[in-house]
Amino acid sequence: MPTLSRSIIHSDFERNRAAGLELRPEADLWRARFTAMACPCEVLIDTHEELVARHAAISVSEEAWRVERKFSRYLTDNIVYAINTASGRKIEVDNETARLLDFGVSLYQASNGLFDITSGVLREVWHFDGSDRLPDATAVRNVLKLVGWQRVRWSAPLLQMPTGMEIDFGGIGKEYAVDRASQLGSVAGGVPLLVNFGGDIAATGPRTDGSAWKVAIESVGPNQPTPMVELKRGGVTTSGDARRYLLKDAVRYGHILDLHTGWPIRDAPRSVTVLEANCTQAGVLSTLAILQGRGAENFLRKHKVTYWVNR
Amino acid sequence: MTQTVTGPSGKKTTTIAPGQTPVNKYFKDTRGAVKATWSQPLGDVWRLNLGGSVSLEDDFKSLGANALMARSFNEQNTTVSGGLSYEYDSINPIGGVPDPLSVVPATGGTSPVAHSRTKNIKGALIGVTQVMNQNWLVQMNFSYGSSSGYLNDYYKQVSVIESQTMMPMPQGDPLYQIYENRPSTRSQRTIYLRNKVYLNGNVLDISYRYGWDTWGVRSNTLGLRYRWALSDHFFMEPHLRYYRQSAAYFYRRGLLNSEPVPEFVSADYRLAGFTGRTIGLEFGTDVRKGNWWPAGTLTLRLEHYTQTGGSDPQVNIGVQQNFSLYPGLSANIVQVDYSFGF
Repeated sequence: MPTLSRSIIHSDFERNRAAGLELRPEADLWRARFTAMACPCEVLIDTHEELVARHAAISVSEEAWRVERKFSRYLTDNIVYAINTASGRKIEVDNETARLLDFGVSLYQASNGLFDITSGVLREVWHFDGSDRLPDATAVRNVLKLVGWQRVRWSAPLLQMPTGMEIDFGGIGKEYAVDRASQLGSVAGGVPLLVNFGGDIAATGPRTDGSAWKVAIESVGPNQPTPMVELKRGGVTTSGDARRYLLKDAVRYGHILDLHTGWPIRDAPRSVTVLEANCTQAGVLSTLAILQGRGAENFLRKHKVTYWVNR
Repeated sequence: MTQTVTGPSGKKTTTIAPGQTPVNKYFKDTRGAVKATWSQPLGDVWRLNLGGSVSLEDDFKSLGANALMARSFNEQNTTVSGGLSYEYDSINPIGGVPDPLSVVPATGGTSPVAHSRTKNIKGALIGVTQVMNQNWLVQMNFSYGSSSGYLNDYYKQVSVIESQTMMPMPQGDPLYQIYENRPSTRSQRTIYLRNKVYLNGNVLDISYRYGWDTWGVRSNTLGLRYRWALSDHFFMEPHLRYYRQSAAYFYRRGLLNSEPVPEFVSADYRLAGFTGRTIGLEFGTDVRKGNWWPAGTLTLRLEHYTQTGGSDPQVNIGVQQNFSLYPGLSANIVQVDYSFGF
């Protein structure tokens, strides 16, 4: 464990506890809980020592909240707000934002435009509340004019977007936070740990006794046994959400939109779970798989990854 | 992990596993070309050569003309020649001319800045051919070429590579591609020297070429041929060729995403520093006139070519170290020719 005075850890811990961080001992580990990025977050810390657990938990929660503050589209004092309200002006971005934008561009190219960090504006017309209220086709067409990375001028560190377009790191920010926070927490505590932010998971290494972390996959289906993943090192993510859809004339409209048409991807799985080397890689593959619609399983087989699909 | 490369036509995406060379399965091109030359003696010592060419492809049209005057001295033992050439090209990429240095858009997203672009190429040449004695001929040329206009290859893209650790993509992973951009002018100069020596009916041919241009490409070519007459109607000709060039100043194998995009950048392997070696053997035999063919010469050429080089240490970071980025290439060539006069 890195040398750090107990009093500093204590005061940092109190500050984080005030922000919602809880830490409890269990039989053979410590479990931390907090809320970030609008979802429940947990950290399983493979230690018996409370001080080690505190140090690791603080690192994880602070990194999660930092990434949230910096990249949330709901805040009005961060870089995403500055970009989205620039009205066609050039915005200079910092290095971390530039690298995340680069990552977004790589997914845009890899998915042939089906994944696009400028697609968030479609939320203005699509409300997946379980009702039968489909949007007007003209409204969808109009909003679609504001989607498309090819309309963005990006030459680091300068970003220029037409007025009305928005960027949204929602599709990549959480996995990025999981990978970063788990690494930082593991280094801070000097012990293996598992981070789970709303179902996006990363484990930094096998437990000290050599055993694997055990992760249940809840989303496979109501009448099927819950698969269990033995995770020693790597990431697990689940894309899709069975609760977010519209239902009209017996047709189910899932919330994954085809950015070429502005309408839901047809025959998309309700959820896809992927196990990969880290959380981001898993997230990329589970997201891209859903975007393949009926071809999701083929896509996953082609990439030779461990996956579970719920249709 | 996979890399992805968009196709030149911009219509399909191909996924390439690491370690594989990306080859575009959807590449299609049709080319038709006509070339004509006319040679006319003007009196005893002057000769005029005129030529013209037309080439039409789906995305490329070219018109060219050239003229060469030669005069002989010393009872035909010395020939001095001078020539000029001009070529006009029109380039019409499918999907339009892309915006240089911009991110290559995905399918459905297009950002062409024009339908077509043009370029022109002017050339001049002076040369001397000297008969040294009845078994020895020396040839010397100096040529100058100047290109201007759209010199980009709109099919060529440059990968932008993750430069940092602790980012979503591993350090060294290619993230995406941008279109290349080259300067709009290029002048090239070449010196060429050739010796032909006749040895008991066999011919030894040694040539050397040195070229240099305003893009920083300097090249040396050394050629050696020995035409070995095995009988009056059959010959064997082994040959060796060594070629080495330095990289253009704006050549990059890839760009790091931490660096500003330079004004000019290309990852075209033809602008890289590399060494090419050719070893070959040619067989030829005279063929008498038959019922269905005219009299002529039939030749078979076998060649083996290897190329090494093209390195760019700046992008050899992170996961890139797991792969050979400069695996080199080799090719085997078999060619059969039948030439005849009419």
